[in-house]
Amino acid sequence: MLKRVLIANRGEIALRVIRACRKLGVHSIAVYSDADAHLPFVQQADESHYLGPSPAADSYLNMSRVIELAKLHNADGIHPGYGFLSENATFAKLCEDSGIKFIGPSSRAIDALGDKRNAKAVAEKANVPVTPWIKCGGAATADNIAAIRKIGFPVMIKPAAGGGGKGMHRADTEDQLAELLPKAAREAKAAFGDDALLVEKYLAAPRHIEVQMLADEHGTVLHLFERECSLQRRHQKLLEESPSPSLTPAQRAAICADAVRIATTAGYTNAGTCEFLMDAERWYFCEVNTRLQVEHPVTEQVTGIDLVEQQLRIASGEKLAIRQADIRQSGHTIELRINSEDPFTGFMPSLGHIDAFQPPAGEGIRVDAGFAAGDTVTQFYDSMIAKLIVSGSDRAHCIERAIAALREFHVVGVATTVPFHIQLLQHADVRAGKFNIHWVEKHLAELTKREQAQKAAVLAALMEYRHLNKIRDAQSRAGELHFDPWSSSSLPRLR
Amino acid sequence: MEYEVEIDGRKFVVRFFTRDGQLFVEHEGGAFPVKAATPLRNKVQRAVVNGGEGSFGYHRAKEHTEIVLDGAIYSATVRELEHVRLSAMTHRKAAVGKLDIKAPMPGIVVAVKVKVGDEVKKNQSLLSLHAMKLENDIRSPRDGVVESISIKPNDVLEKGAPMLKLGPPRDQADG
Repeated sequence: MLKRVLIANRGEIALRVIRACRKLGVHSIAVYSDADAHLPFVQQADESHYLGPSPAADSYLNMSRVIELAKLHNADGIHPGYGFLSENATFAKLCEDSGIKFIGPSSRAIDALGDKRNAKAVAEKANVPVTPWIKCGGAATADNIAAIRKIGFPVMIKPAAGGGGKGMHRADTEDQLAELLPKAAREAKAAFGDDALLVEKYLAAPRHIEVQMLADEHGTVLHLFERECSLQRRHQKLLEESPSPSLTPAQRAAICADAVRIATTAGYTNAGTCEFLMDAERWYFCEVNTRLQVEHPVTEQVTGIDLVEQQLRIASGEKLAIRQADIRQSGHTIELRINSEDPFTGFMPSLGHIDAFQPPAGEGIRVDAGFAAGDTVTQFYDSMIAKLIVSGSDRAHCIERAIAALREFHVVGVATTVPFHIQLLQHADVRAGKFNIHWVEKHLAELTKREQAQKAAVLAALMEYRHLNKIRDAQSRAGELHFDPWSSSSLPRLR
Repeated sequence: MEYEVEIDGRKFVVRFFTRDGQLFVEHEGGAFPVKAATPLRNKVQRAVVNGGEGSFGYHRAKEHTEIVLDGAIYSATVRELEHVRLSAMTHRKAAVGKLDIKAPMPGIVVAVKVKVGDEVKKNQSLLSLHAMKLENDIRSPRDGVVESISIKPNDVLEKGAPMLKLGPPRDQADG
């Protein structure tokens, strides 16, 4: 077993890895930027070291600095989490060359699958259908346009190197390509350090279904069933669930088998996810995420398997102790991403001090949070502050439990996506499982209603009444009876 | 105690009273009991409103109060209704025509500072009214001429009692 694992990440995922390390008796080492110096993961790790300035490029994306710290503090493994360096083959190679275990697939496998162009070739070899696509540079050259015309509009432009929905653009006409190709290339370069793009056929109304895989270094590849992540906005997943409400048992078995074939063909190791887009009847391979995903707890809750523990075991050279036949989906789990964004102002990021942070608790409720009361949400990183993961005996039960949990999820100081999720889970289409990846955008107005102003007014008045009474009590006790009740500005502010 | 609460540009009037030691809220014609279950300093509050218990986020800022209900932030401006009426009286835009100036609150007339026929300017002090242990300056809401005065010092006034009548300013009186 690895002895000392450095976590090249932050927030809730750093905490998640720390928890798995603790479970296995592995010493955890956190690294942090200026902006994150006071976050819970820095305190929770067995030891913590300063990484660099707040901008990600100077800290969590600074490969040589991460390796330097890992060597300095005798780490024998690095867990990259998700995002940042997690799908960076160069970084995985740097780890390998430094004799530090990269907790994920080999740099070769990341190269083969992390690059979407190569991944499609692997899928074709594994006999899994892919959507029509081409590789493409960031310029609208005649060659590029001719090749894209062959695919047929609309098309989707994606960074070849990246994931997580960043730098993705839909083009409906040739004219749009002139603007969108260079833009996507710039974004790809900024986010992933590589401006290569791929352009593929845009499916009209697909669902997003992905299959979780675990593969050890001894040739065993397992799937842990699917997650459905069709409820997204601007390619950012908002709600993930398992089982998918849209697969028949036969489809489920077939799509999971496709994923295993892809992983086997690629010689994949550690945890990974095969993403598919599904039309009315059939699905197309989309990409492999060569890392742990944000939504991995969904799979953990329905299968009872600790994915990060398995990652650490696989990276330590152990054989998978689980057999495919023993893995079952039981009950239903939904994950809701709690982002510090204001759904009522177009999901504007809401930065600042978190005055109160009180997540729900109870049966079937898991909260993976990276922040606590008193912390500050800064502009440097993504806006996710917590994940609410709710399990129930079936989907309907799970939804009811999730709504109740959201109502008890209290954050004061920054706006969150909590009210959006409540309205999402109350919507008839979501309850019926009738949606696709464009559904949220089309129903945004219905999902961002503010209907409780009247109740809020009563509560605001109640608090003001209590506040004034408290001041009056204090003043009469102090013998100070002369205050101006007409002027609120003359009232001392008690906190 | 009555409050005017403004949220998202909408105004609500909320009144509180106690009966047999129980706090009631009166709002939009209905009255129901309310009970706070958490100390005032808590950022997450629990309250029983009309028999139903619920929790909400609470933050009191300088200019407004934030109530977080089912995750949605409602930014509320809360003012005592008497204060609203008083400032509405004294800050109303200049207008022509006749205007009755009424007592904004129950009180005792301390001094009348103008007499019939006086030309007054907007915000000029007209009289002072003693209420709630304080002298409140009642100012003219606009320019005009005092047409009649129906009160004198030491009069005890109910809320809304007519105090004086204001006519149009002299330069507009013939127009």
